[in-house]
Amino acid sequence: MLSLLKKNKWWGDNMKEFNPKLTIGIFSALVGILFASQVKMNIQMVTPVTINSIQRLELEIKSLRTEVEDLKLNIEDKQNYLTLIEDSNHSEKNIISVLEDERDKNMLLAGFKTVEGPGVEIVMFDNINSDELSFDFNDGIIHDVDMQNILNDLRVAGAEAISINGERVLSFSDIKCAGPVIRVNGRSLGTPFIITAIGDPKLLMASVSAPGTYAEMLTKVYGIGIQPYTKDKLVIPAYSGDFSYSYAKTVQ
Amino acid sequence: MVYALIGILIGVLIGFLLPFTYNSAYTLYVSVAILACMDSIFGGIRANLEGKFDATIFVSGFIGNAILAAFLAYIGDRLGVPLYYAAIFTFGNRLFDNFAKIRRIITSKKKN
Amino acid sequence: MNKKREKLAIIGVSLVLGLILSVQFKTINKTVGNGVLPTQRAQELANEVSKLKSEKELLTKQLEELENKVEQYEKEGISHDTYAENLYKDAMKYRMLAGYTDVHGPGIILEINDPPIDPQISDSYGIVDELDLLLQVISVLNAADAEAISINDQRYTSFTEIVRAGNHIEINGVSTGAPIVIKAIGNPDTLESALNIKWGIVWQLRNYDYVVNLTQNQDIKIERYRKAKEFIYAKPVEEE
Repeated sequence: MLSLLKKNKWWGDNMKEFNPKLTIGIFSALVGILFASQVKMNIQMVTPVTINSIQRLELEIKSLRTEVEDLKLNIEDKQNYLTLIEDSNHSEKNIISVLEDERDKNMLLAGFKTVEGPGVEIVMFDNINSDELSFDFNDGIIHDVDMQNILNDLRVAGAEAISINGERVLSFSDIKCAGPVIRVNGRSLGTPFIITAIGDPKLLMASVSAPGTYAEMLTKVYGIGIQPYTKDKLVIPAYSGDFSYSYAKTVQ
Repeated sequence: MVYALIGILIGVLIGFLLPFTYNSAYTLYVSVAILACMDSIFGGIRANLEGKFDATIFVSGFIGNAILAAFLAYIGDRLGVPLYYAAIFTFGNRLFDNFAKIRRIITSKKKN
Repeated sequence: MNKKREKLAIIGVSLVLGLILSVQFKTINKTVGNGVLPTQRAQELANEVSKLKSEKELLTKQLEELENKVEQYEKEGISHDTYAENLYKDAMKYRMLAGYTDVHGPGIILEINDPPIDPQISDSYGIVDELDLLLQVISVLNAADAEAISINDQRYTSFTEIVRAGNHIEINGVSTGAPIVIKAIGNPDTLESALNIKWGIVWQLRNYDYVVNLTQNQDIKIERYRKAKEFIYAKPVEEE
């Protein structure tokens, strides 16, 4: 090899006499080495990484983490329930109490039991200041949208039970506002509308009065009357409508 | 040109056999550097065929372009802008350019 | 004199460039994390996502197995007793009402896509900006006797909240975004006509340039509410 190099006078007296072919050859070898080590890394496609994609990935991770946490809690619950049932399988009496507890728990969560607890009571009425000439008449009235937003905000603040004028509001409750009357669960109720919500009183209060909330906007901009009060003990009745499943069936 | 091919093959073999790896975070930069090196090689082959090969220019271009390309890709990554596209377009373009010239020279030599 | 000005100009521009560069560096660093290159971070994050996804799959399977076992034991336990059997039916009914069972049945699927970006209008908006419209869809569906509703596969329950978070929305604590797919089980014709009435919610959405697809479907599957919920403040009142 050395004789070959000497023969081709790779390093001549002058820089310009480097044998071109060998130089190219040697550097090609370098490229080859780099290339091989790159291939050995077993990389998948290198996509252009934008800050956007990083943020999106972080969001996805957060969501997935929440879902995993929820699943773990659910599994724990089910595990406990399973142990209860397994224990009770030996005596018939016990399975009944286990089932009764399960039914009661679900009744409570589904909204079919009267509940009491701390929370807020919100009195809502339309804008009564009719001497505001610049007002569009429609603006001062409570609309469906307003009610839905306030209920949504209450749920964000963790409301465990909500009722409007004594009607329990559940996920399938229909709420229709028409002037001085509101229809909830098929019953017509009159103004003023009293929304009761049980939960953390501070959070619930903030969700309807803190600056920047929907309720605050309604009072400041449209003059709609919204008066929230925190209370230590509120009673919310069970769902009184008649709801039954005609179309939905459980997946076996 | 044949020397270049032989060189690459030998290099690839050595590279596979050597336990030489680096931090996988840098793969992006090395890829761009490889592209720059290939452009230099093609440029060198062309210069050699034209009889204008200058080792200083070749070596300095090889190493310099590689470093500059990797550096540009790195800066681009830090800044959140895919600057390596610039390297890809430039070197890719020159690669094909040189290749075209090489082909022309070889075919014209064959004619003579 | 001119040379001095040129030099000053160059110094000034370089200063500005240096400033911009450092601000950019700091911004990127804040998002990506110190001492970590964006590509590397993206790879890390992608790995974490796939890890979490497989964990979620594993846990879901585990939960399913547990539930099959529970069902088996429940059925065994009640097989000799009509009272127990009725009790079991009741318990299942309330479980369904609370949203804790997967359900299926006929109904509709409403898909809302963001309006196509008009290059003339510089700031584009999306459905995430207008939660009102989503809330109204739900209200309309309820008025049309929808029995179960889900938004992007999140079951809508009495505790479900829809919040705006950045350029996404969060439902039941899970982040999601456009397109929004709302499924509802009920009488398909009733549901469809309720949504489609003139000046109704679909008309409003289309008026705002949202691309809306409304289809009937004879077998829609809506998954259960996945949060394990317990009342902390509300306690049942002993009536009887």
